Amino acid sequence: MHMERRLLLGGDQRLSTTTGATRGPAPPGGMSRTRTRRCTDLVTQLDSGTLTDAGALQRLLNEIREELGELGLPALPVGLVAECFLGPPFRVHTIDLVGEIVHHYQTGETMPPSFERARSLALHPAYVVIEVYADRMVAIRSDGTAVDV
Amino acid sequence: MAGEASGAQVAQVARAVADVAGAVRTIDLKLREVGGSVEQLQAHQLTLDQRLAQLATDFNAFVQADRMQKALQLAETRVVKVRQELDTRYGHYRDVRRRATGILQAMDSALVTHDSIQATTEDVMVGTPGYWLAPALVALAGWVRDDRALAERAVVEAMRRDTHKTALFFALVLRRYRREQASAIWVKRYFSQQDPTALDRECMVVLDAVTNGGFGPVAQALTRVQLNGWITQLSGQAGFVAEQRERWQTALLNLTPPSSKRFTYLRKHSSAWPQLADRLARAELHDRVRSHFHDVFDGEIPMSPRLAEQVDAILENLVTNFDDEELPLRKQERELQLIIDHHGDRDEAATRFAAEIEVFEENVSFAALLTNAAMHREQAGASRATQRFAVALSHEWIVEAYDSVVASGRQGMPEVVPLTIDDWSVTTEGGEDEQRLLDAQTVVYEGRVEAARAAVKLSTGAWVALVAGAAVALLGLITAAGGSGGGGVFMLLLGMAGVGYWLLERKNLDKRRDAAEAAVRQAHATGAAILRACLAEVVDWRRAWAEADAQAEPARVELAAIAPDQHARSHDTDARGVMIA
Repeated sequence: MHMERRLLLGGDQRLSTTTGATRGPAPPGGMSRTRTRRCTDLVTQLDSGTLTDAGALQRLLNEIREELGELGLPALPVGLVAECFLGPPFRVHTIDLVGEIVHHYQTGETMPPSFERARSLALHPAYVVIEVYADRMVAIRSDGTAVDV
Repeated sequence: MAGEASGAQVAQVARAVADVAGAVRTIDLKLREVGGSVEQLQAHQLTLDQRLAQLATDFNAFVQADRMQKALQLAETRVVKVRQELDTRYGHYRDVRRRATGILQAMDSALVTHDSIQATTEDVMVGTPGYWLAPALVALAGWVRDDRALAERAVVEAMRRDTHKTALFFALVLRRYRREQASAIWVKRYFSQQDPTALDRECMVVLDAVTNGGFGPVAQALTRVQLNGWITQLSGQAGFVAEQRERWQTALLNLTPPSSKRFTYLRKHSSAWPQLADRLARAELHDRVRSHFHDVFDGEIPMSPRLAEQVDAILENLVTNFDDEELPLRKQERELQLIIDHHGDRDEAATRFAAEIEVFEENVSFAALLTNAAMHREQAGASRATQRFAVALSHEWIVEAYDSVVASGRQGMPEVVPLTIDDWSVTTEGGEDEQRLLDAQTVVYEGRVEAARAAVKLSTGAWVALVAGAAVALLGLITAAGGSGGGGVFMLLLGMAGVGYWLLERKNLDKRRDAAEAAVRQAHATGAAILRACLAEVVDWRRAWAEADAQAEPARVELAAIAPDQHARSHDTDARGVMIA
């Protein structure tokens, strides 16, 4: 989404924050401000019980990478952190996109440092998933808006 | 004979043993006295340590309060001096500034002769050397008298002294008399020398003119194109978006309230208290953000129906608030005022001033100008209408920055709250597991009771008295049976005394153990009360945080709903049509 602003020429000046927003190249110097519904739905499949074998997990991870890749992001995240809906004692799960590992964590169980800092954000209902990059995090709101943290 | 000798020896031995037992008893009593004294000393030491810690806390608080009081008094004294210096060095400019609008209003009313106007402008020219406004007023007087040569010379001099302010001054004056084309030429001249990455501070007046009808339709259109161009130019620069987000994050975070004074038990018993206090303050920020921007857009801003009055207000702002020579003193004045506003807290004042620093720089980027107008209106010399306009122009940046502020405030929330009470550590998630934790605490204290009772033992002396007493008593019996009745009875009595001493000590032992147990149980009762209080505060803290955090979304909705085209105004209906089209 372009960051140019049409100040006084009229037209819709507001952010496009609806889900299913148009994909396109990232603006110069910036991160795409939206994610599609499909992106976030893929993450929730981790708790659905449909991943009965390693092949299914592999396919899911490939779909996630493909979906993020189409956004034209300058770099893909090293992993994702989201709330876990498997039920107590599990609270969060992480998807390591580099090592292709999914891990479910219990309350008080420490995650690797790069993911641990995303924990409380992942548990907040305002965010469906947290993208963890090498040097920052991006929290994805339920309306698809990507927030640099 | 041999029996008598043997009896005497036994009696001698018995007496020696009795002496030893007596000595042991004495030593034991002394040891117990020493032990008692040591215990008392330890108790006093503990009390002393606690009092010393309390004294250190009280002393530090006193020093801090004293430091703040002194800083407050110093700031109050110094701000008066700074204002006096401003008045001394630049007070004469006030007279010139008043004459600017005075001359214009005199021209309107035609109650003052041209010669009088000429004379007054010549007077200020002589009286304020170097000041740009003086030759500008001379040019105005020349224009009124139709003295073109004088007017042109004066304009050149004014431009030489300050090109930008002179251009804006004449743009506004000409607008005042509806000379729209001429006004637009001066506006164009002004923009031609501006770099959007390093604008002069008086560019705020341009925004004022856009929002308050200071520009006519031609100048307004020209300004619109220019502002659009600036934003396009800045937006295309690498890192601009990130810079804007950071700038607005700093501005928004400046609204964070101080840490809560509530939750005294968590403050004392939880190592996570600094984190809890910080997260709560960050959540309480949302309501302040909402209030701030609500106040910006609350109520009508009256616009004078007379163009002259509206332009005069903008002119007065231009000539009063943007002279760079005054900047260092204005900066000092603001720093001191912030110390006064924060009751002597220099650190807090420094934090607030750091957020306003760009207001006091001679050159700022257009984006920073908008932030200054939006968040520090009075210091930046912006009108309320300009503040609204600046917020509206910046609202996308504000929403992005606010999203980041909200998210970073939600980071680092402790999943569990650690508590330490009387050297017992435990964690709780929401504070609602009171019974489980009380039961766990009880188990710990029951263990401490056992340990306390086990630590209370019979002294070595008592055992020696028992053994020695029994031995002496036995010897006494043997002696008495051997015919030495007197000695035997004596030894028997001695032996019984030794055993009696042991029995007495045994009885006291139970009392001492009961006392130790009572002390631990008292500590348990106190600890349980503290635990209940801590858990109640954890529940309250979580609730307070959730309520405060819930304000984030309504604040965001309000920010996202701001539309810039509603906040630029004009005295000319045609111009409004152009702006909205």
